[in-house]
Amino acid sequence: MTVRDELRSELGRMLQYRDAKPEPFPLEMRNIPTPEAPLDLWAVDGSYSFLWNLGSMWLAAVRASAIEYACTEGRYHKRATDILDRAIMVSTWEDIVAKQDEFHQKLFEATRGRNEQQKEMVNEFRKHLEGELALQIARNHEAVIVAMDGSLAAVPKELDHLEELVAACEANGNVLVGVSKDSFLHAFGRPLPDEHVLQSVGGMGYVRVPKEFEQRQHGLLYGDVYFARLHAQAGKWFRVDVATYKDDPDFVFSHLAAHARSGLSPGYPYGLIEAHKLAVLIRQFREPLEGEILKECARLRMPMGDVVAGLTAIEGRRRGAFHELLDQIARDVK
Amino acid sequence: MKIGEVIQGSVKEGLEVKLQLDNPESLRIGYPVIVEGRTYDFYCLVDDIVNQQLDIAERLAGSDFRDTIVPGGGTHEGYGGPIFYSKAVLKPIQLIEKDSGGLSEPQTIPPYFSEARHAERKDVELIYEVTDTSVPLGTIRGIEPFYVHVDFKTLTEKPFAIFGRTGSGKSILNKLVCLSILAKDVGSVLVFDMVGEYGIYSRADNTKGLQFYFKDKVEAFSLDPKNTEAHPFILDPREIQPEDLIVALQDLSPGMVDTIYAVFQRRGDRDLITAIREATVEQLGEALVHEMSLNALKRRLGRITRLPFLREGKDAFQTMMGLVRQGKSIVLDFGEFGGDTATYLFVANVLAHRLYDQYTEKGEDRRLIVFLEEAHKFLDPLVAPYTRFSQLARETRKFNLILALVDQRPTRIDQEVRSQLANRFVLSLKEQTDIDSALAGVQDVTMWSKIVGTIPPQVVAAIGDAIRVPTVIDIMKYDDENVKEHIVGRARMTEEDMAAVAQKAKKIFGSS
Repeated sequence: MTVRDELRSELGRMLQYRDAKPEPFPLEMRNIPTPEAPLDLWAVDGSYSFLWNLGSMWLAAVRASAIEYACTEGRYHKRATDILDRAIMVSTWEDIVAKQDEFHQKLFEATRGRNEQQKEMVNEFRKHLEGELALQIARNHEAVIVAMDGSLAAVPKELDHLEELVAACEANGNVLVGVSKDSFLHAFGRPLPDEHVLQSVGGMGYVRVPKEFEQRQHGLLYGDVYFARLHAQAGKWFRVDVATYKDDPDFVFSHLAAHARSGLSPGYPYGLIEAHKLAVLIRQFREPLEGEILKECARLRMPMGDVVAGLTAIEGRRRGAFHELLDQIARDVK
Repeated sequence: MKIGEVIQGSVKEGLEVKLQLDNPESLRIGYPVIVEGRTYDFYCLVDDIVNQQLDIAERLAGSDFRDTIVPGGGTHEGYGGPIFYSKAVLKPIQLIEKDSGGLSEPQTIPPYFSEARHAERKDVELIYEVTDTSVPLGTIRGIEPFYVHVDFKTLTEKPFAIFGRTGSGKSILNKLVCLSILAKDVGSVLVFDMVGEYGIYSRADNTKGLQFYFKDKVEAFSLDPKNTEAHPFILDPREIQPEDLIVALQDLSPGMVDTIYAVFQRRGDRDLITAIREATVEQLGEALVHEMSLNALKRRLGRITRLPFLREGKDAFQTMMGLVRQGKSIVLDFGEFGGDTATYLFVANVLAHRLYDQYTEKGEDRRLIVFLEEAHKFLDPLVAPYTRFSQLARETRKFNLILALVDQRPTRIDQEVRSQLANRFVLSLKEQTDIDSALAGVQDVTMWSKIVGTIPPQVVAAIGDAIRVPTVIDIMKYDDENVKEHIVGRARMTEEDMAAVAQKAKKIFGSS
């Protein structure tokens, strides 16, 4: 069998799976009402940037950012911003981790066995920091929407602040939602991901995923899972986890939809776009942070060549690593 | 009000500011802006306003989203201000030291993120000096009404110019400048009044002229014998020089020019005009003149010989000079000859000759500023060698004789003359060559070129040593109230004027 034969065979199978028609769950679409005065929205997102590598240890800068928006008179007014910037060292060698504190050990355990574990560890730390910032906001503000980037699922549970966050939002009358930019869920039991299935449904509305799905995720989810098209001309349906006001999704989606009317990206809360932009700025601060590393390493009498060799790309790979050379050859020699 | 923050800067190229304005239309080229550095306030002018190229804008433009909040400067505030923002390029033109208020040239730049704001009255008050000899010509653009002063003593020490296309406001500015010179008594003026604008009332729009406000300081002469209120202007034909005819008749052929000089050398006791009229080829010799040239010259000369003021009698020039010595100014009314360019060129050139001789050879204490409208007709590189005006511009400031050019085609004025200008008032110009010529030698010429090319009528770029920093001025409206309030002073008001003001006040405030 040639490669071509195999390609033809596999393509045929892919379409067959796509077109399989198991008994689908019914889609109970709900319309999204218009709120009289939209609640303010605090959008929370995070990002990180690896800076330096020494053996199996990595140094990274991590940021959680939050930005508050009011939506009035057809404008998005920025009310306030809040930022948490932290540096963290993670190691993928257990002997070193054993010498670190409990938090670092939890990070290590939660990501054990994953590919490029250092990235997973820093990514979990990013989520942890986002939770910490969201918790501050939830405690300090009342009657606002707290919109997190991503789902409200706790993996690993011991590192997040979701439980406290939900409690704080409930105490202060805040709406807590998690909006996922991309979702590959198959909660509706169709061969294609739910997002793709819903793509053919127009208009503006929301639909809750089957309860069976939520039950399977029990213990991990902190909210009810919905898919919502927050604007009639939205490019796609987004997964939205709703953790407070669970008994009044009309209220939640009406206020959230008011923040998703930007012509920049109809259907996606504008605040989350800006929170993301604010978070990824951490990557632009690499140069001054690298400067700090160089100065401190010089003070610690480390040979400058070794220091420079340890500087990494954003994703943690050494800039001069051999695979980079191979990548370059692959790009340049065609 | 804050308008943005500095994101880029260079001493040479200026500062770039990210604007935080909902609408960039509220800013215009030439507006004054303050950038607050740490040690200095940077007094800047807006050089350019830019909407940068954005991929997202290109993608969104023309999209038919409905019920969306349309992205724009005022609708989408990002973490660092509006996400769709314009930029302004600013040219620092003066540094104001924060502690002392001391002024200096811009030799540095402010730090990143320095705040830019509209200039306020308190800022410009530090910059523009009010002196005993300064007068405001109008207000600064882009700021609450602030009358900006020009020092007329400094202005009248060296040649200056008013450039602007037709309809840009040259005449009004010229009147304001003349009135200011008279108000501060920094010299006398000589104005060639082609259309009767400068006497008591303007014949064109009935506004009040120089003589209305300074009856005791302004004497009118008229070329028109029917005007009995003015001194008669009589020009002795014996004073006519070949160059006067060459300039007045402008389109003479080289043969005709040679003929004039040939006749002049052989005129004997006769005046030049009579000598030409009586000249024959036989007398002069065929080697010197051609019959066709001589006849053509005689025909052309008809334009001059018909002028009624060209006759023997009491020469007006000496009377004028006597009045100037008494501190008076002269308005030379052209009356019915106002539309005749040849007459204007002829008279102005004859007077220029005589003024030049008078001031350079005999010397005069009283400064005289000669306003030369249509200056390019005297100072075109082709004509300039035959006139005394280029010499007036170049040589006579040390003799108290100052040339003020008023023109719409600066490109046609000899470059050497332009280089003598210590001050320029440049109104709207559209031809790039004219803009370049009007601004030749000016610092930050690219910025000023943009300003001059875009300013509306009645707005002037004032550049030179008579004003502390180059400034874009909204010329004040030429009306009785402004002239009295800002130029001649209330002290010169008559009882009749006071009664009119009282009447107006009664209307506004009632009779109590």
